[in-house]
Amino acid sequence: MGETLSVGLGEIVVSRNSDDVLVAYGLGSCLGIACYDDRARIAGMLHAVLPRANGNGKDPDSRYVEHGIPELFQKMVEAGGSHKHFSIRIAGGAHMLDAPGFTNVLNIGQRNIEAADSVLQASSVPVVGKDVGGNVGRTIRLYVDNGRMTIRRLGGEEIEF
Amino acid sequence: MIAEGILTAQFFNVLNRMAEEGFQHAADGLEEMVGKPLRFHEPKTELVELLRLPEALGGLEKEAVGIYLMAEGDFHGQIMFILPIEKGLEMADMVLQRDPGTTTVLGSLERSALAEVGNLTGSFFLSTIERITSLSTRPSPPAVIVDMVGAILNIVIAGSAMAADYGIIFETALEIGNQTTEAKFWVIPDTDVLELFNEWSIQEYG
Repeated sequence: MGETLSVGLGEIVVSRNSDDVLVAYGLGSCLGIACYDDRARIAGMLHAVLPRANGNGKDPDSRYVEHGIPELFQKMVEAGGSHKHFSIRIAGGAHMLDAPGFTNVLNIGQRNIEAADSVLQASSVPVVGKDVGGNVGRTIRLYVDNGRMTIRRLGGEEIEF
Repeated sequence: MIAEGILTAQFFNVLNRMAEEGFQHAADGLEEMVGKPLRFHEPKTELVELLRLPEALGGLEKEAVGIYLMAEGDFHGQIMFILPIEKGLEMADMVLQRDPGTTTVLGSLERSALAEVGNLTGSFFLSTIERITSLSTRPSPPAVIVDMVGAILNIVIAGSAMAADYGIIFETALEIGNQTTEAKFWVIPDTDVLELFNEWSIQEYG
């Protein structure tokens, strides 16, 4: 029986159950990074919060873009996938606060995007879709069965991605 | 670990006292602004792990209004006053003393009015914290955001830069005349502040 699997903050969810749908709700400055293996029909999604761990005493984990992407690939491989069949789509990284005095918060979305670009450029995995930046929230859905993906922006309809 | 340390009865006593007095003072301030008697309902207080906030909130795709302030000083962290979009429109009507249902879009005037609500509530709340605990604190100017609940939540998560592990949620309702609007008020102190707070509450309340 298929399920809608919600990918929470800092989480990675991987599925090879063809009836499952992976969803990241209300991405703001966070990044939703969706990976699909079209040969093994395995889908994975990372909901990353910050670009990198920066000396606050926390161990790097999937909350951070730089650590989360390799971990996503690793989990896809453990589930039976292969790097050479992976493709990536990215959404989120919005500027959420366009107000004076909130510079650090303002930059997080952009910094998340840059961190993802840098990690993905160093990998051989192609990025086939990107809907990033702007200043509204997004929800993304990835269907395990065929790798179809949809995106809904605040106030808009759900569209193919 | 902070998790065990902060879940004490003393800590919740302090939070409840802060909430009761803070909202009472905020109501006094807002009353002057809108020129009508008003009150906040007795708040329900919850301490939630920051990354678990989405589960506590639910409806992450729903449109909402967030009024955001940063607190600076000994007590530093973030404050977010959040309400569903339709409640935000109602609140704008109330504050701007319009007939219910008049506001259908949050333009710059309506956003300024809501920013002022956040500013007053946040300022009075922080001054209560300062008075009760003697920890210095002051608010930044407010920002108003209209977006999905999840995206608004991203602001406090990103703003904490993972320097906070927990958020305090005060759930209340604002009553002006015969109109009532529910709202959530999140206070996200940095972890070192929670520790300081906990120590203080144990000393004060034994």
